Amino acid sequence: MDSDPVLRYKFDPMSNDETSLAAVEQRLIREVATILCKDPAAIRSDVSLPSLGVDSLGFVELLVMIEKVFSLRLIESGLTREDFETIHALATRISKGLRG
Amino acid sequence: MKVSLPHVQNRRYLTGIDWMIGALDDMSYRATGGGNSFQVVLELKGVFDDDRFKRETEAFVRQFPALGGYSERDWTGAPYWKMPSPAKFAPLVLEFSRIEAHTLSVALEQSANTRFPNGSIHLALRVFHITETRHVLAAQFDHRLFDATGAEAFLDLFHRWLTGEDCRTRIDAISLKEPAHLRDWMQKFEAGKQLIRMIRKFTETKLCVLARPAPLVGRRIKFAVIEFDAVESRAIAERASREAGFLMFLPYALAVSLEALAPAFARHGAEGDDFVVSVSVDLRTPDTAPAQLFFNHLSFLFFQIPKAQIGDRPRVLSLLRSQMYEQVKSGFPKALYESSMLMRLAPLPLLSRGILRPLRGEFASLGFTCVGKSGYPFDRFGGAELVNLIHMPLVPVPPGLGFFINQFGSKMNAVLAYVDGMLDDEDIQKFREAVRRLL
Repeated sequence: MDSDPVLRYKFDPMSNDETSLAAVEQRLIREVATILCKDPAAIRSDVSLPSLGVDSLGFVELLVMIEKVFSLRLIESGLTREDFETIHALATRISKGLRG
Repeated sequence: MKVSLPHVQNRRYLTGIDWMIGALDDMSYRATGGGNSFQVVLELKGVFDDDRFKRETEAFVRQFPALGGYSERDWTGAPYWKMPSPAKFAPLVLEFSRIEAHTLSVALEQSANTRFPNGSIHLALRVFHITETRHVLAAQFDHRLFDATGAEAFLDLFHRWLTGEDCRTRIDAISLKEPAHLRDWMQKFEAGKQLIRMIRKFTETKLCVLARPAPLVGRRIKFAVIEFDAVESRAIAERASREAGFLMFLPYALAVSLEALAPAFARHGAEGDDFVVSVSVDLRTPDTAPAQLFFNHLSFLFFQIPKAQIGDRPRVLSLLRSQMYEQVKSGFPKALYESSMLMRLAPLPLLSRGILRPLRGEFASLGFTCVGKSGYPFDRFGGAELVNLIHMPLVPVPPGLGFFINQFGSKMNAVLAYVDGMLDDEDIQKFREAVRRLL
């Protein structure tokens, strides 16, 4: 599990929803930036992942990171466009998953 | 423009993947006499000035000493690409010809199969004039120096040059630095163990392969090109997203290609229980591609699908997704990249035979590449309108069979490459129909 104290707080399912969602979103932005070798400041959470330059392989890398950090295995979850199109949508999906 | 590199810097160490690509070149040369190159075809509309193109091309390629290079080893045995001093002549093949429209596919097949004239030429540009306003540029790239994304980045830069843009900054940004990779041996051995585990898994099964015709020497690679217009391409992308999941085009296209090819395997009595497909994946990002223009920045994934499952699309998609996921999770593409550094110790002829030995002479039923959305961002090339851009790779032999998909603008192209005689006209006709129906 991530040692980042902020992350430990935000992944608490009992924590405030908005804080949790924002923290998940921030973590995803950092991961997408790493995958794309970009500055996190250049990653917008409301832009579609393909428009950011994420391809099939990058997307799977992101899903693997989500399993490692959030303990959520999403590869067989249907992968609908609505849930995965943007970082914001994905963060919402993860937050829902964390709440169980 | 003056380009000079200090002597000690006139080398770029080859990575293990570069060396593997070299081994595939050697393997194919031994099998058929062909090499490991690929052709990017640009369909152009408008006026095309041969003299200006020749002048600009020669000036452009002189900016890249790597184009006139060849592989050597240093005193440690590490292979590197030796780049000559700025060339007095442009290291490329440049040809112009007039052809009839109905002979285009034959001309493209011939140019794709033509070997480079010597070991220091790695680029051939052939312009076919069909009418005064319709032309085709076939750009043939040596895979030892370019991969598909690198070739598109090269064409991108070439277009900028042709339109008079100052390309100095972009050219200077191209990275030709690579360490000798003579450290972290334990890490490489660990990665090697992971690779061996994967190879063992394949040796436990009987691969389903199409018999290659004999004798192989002198046989060409043939191509079946299937172009989709913007409406068809959009429908394909939507179906892929619906059936395989968001951003899961690669597994979708692979599932369809297996479904479309399986009848040909059955018709030719191919034995074996599983289809094994090697899939090349790009390790670059869109932002790093322009600087990583030369050499190979890719790795491979391997998929194994039981022959009996073909036709059950949801099951095959589920298997492909989960195999892709598990390989990425275990770090296989990076492990292959890392462990392949060890292979550089072997001379190419030894390596090209050695790769196949534990796999009983076969390592895949077919090769598959999904180039994805083209890195070439313009709808023009030079002064002409660019109607389409298609990749026609010479598939390595073995397996001698490969399926490739790329997207240019709003259009998608699918290309089947195969050793002449491996499939017949009926197979190709059925394959074309199946791809159009299934994709």
